[in-house]
Amino acid sequence: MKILKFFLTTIVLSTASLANAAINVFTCEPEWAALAREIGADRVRVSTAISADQDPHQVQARPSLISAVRQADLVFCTGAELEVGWLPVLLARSANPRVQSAPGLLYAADQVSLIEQSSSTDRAHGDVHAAGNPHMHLDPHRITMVAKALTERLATLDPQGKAYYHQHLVDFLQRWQAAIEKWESRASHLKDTEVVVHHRSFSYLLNWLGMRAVAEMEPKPGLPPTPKHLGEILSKVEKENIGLILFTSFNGSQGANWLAKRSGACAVQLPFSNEKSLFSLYDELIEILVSKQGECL
Amino acid sequence: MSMTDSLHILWPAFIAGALVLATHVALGRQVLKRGIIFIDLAVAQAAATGALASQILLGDAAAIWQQTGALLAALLMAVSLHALSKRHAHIQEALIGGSYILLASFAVLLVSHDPHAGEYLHQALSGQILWVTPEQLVWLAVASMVVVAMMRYGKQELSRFYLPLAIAVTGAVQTVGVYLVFASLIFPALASIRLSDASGIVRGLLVGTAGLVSGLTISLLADLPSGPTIVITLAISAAVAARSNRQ
Repeated sequence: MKILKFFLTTIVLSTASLANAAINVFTCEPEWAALAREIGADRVRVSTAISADQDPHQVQARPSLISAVRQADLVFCTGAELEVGWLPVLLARSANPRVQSAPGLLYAADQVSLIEQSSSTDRAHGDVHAAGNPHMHLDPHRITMVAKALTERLATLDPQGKAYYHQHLVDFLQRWQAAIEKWESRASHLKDTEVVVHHRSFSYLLNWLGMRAVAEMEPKPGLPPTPKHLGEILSKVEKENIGLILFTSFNGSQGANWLAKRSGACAVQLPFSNEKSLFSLYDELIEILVSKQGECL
Repeated sequence: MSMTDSLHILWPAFIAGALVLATHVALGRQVLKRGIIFIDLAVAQAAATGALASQILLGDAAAIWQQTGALLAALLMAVSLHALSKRHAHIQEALIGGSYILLASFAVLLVSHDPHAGEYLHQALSGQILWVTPEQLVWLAVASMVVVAMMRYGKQELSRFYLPLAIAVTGAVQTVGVYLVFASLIFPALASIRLSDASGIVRGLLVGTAGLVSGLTISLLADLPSGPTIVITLAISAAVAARSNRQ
């Protein structure tokens, strides 16, 4: 009888928690949607503002965006001014009091240190974000820190699920750590490779892998480079024998192809995010870099 | 999405669109009669360049100074276009087009040493109708009333057409974006071009409202960006009205 009662209670409790389990998580970028699914699994419902090929700087206003933020219990974004052009308006328009500040609002960039923070001196050189480079999702170690912060936040918002989230975090970190070691050994030859980048979208990835960006095609996104700047890059690529020019879909391939044609280097398109899985994102990044390095150097 | 949710999302956009139509239908008829279609692009670009210039000159100044800069530049543009229209009527459209690209290129040069360059340029001309806040609606309503009063009581061409156009476009571009401003100005006016002033404006408002409501509805149901959807439904609404007019 006691056992039966125990089972019944468990069933009732678990169905109850399933029925009202879902914490609605609204993420700005697809990489955070993937992370939220890893940690929250069945206890969260995740929606995301932009798809993997879209530029996180710019978002078109669709009715479903406002609706999704209205229903959200947690808004999970990069921060560091990346979404400054649209997220504040979206939050205001949603008029959802739960997500205007912590704990309902979580910025990944606040959980880690950022590189390329601009002081007054290098601001003149055209740094884009004063708070630092926001594209930190391409450093797996920073992902680890964000995953921990997200777990704490979910546990705050949904105390009943605390053990559940922690268990998923432990599981995720185990697989993630193993994957990092795999990627690092696969990419060991990439160390000290010099590349040209379109914009500083890949700084964290390059830092992690020990690669170096020697020039940027478009230091200010959206503005055409000056002739002098292009001339300098071209001569640098030729003189230093650089083989790879990295860009991502929303940069447009024009600049990279222009440089590739004139210098004989390879224009390489890299994925920038992946909504399904962070593991596949990194798998793809490493595979492309390793294989292109073989072809182009 | 629930009904209250949908209403919450759409009502500010609807009011913003209606306020824009309230002034742009009558202005659009004037624009068509004068054959200077691109004047709103030139004025909108002047406003955007003015806003950028005041932002750069005054640093990250308060929004009110940016708006002042935008309005001053747009008014200046309207005054000079009016002066040019007197002396060079036969090449007015060419001069308007020329001013537009001059100001647009000037804006690119202006921000070329600014770290947030691309974002500024983009934002200045891309108001998004769905993200309109109640505060913006109040400003838009004030601007619309000033514009209507000027058109009604203005004595000369400058105070009856050029200056109100500058005010209307400056206010509207930042809330609903340049494409929707252009569409609100041209499509309802096209559908009512042969009618007399009073009935033409009524028809233009009906055509515009039909386009606005159907565009918002489609954008809600199909989850499409609202601005471009309304541009297309405005065009369809004008075409249907023009066709039924002929039969």
